[in-house]
Amino acid sequence: MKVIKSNTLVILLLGAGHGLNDMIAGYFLGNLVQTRTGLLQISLGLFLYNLLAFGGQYPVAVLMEKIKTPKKFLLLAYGLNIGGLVFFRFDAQLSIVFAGVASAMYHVAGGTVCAEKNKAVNIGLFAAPGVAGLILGGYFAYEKIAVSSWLFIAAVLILGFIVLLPARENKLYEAPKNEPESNKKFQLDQHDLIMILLLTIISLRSVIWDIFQLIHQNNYSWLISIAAAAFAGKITGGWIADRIGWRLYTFIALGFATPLIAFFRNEIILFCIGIGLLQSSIPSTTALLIQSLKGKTERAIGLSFGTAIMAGAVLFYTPIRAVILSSIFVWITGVIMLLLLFFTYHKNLRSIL
Amino acid sequence: MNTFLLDAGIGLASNILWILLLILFAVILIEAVVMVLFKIGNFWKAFSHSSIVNIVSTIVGYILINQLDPLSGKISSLEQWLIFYWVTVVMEGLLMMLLFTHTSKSKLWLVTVVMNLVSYVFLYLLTLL
Repeated sequence: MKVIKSNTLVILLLGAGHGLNDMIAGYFLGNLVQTRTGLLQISLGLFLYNLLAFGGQYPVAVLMEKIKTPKKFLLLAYGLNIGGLVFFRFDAQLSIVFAGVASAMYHVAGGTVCAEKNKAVNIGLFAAPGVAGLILGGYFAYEKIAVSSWLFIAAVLILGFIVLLPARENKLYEAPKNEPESNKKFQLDQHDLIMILLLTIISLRSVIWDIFQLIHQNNYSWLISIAAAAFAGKITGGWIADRIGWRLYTFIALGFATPLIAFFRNEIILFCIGIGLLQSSIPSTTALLIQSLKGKTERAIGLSFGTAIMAGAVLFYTPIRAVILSSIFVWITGVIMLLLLFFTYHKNLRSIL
Repeated sequence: MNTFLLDAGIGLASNILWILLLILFAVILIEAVVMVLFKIGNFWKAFSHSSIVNIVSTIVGYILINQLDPLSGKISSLEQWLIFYWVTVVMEGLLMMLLFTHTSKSKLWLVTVVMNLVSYVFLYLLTLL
């Protein structure tokens, strides 16, 4: 069978598949919010989707490390998305469960393929369409525009593209091999510490992202602007980070994002630049995480796109929520992120500064 | 309904998600303790297996709610609780057999019936608060 060989084309199509995957989820969840009257039923649906889509990524990553062929997971993810669209009219709950499992699989498998050479720009190209798809799907549901059949056609096309993907095994990214054997145990601990610091930074970044969703809730023009800023930020951030260094770029992006977000929350252009910078750190922090996990790409993607986001969301529901809407919280979080980033320096990771 | 975008999902600006997470955690913990009391594994093994079976049974329960909705006028609340209970027992019992391969089937079914009895009593008491 003829397969798609261009790496850029594969990444762009997987990014499009990511956008569609999240659009389907946004459409299902948006419909749940619009049509179901009981708060418990809506909450349970959102809770289960988020539990599966975010919490499910790490188990999927562990499983994928054993099976080693992301293509199988991509196929299964789109099979579930198509199943969800077919069942949606009869059983919306079942569709939401399908969408949750599909999201967990697609994020890890697609992210792993795109991060194969551990380039931040490829991670950014894959990650960027997600938020656009999510907000568009939610918008269709909000406006009660029936798009199930269009989503079904698009999903079948993406499934066809996945079938044409080469069924290669994921070649794990090779970490630098200049580490002295005698220091192996010490180095491993250092890497673990760096991984924890990076995950904390990603979670805190996610909390700030969540906060401003809440501040501008019910304001769709602001939400679309925020999503567009995040979309552009992830692509340009990944591209620049590959050129000037992932860690240095993350410093600059978070350093500039913090004052813009804290001071200009009512100035749409400056605020969107801040949000764009904040979200532009996703590809570079993910690339750093892959490096710190010594090339365990699947696990790094699962942690970055799943576990850390879920940890951020959980923090959002703790008593700390009473203070997180203040500018002081954004400042403190920004400073903490920069300090934690400072401690991620490691001599064997010098190539990425 | 106030919702907001997570990085790949939709959040709800309500404490109810947090409460649901706490309830699920409590049920996982209760069933893990019952497993430990029946000596079918140490705490961490029981906790991880309890997490798996309870997440799966929560998903099945969520789908079942929709199926039982049209029957809500025809069957009593007690009957609905009993249906949920037995579906959970069957679901979790089958999963337990896959997870605890070295334990006898009869013991696993006994553990499943008891741990779900305890967790359902906990859930019922919650509805009275």
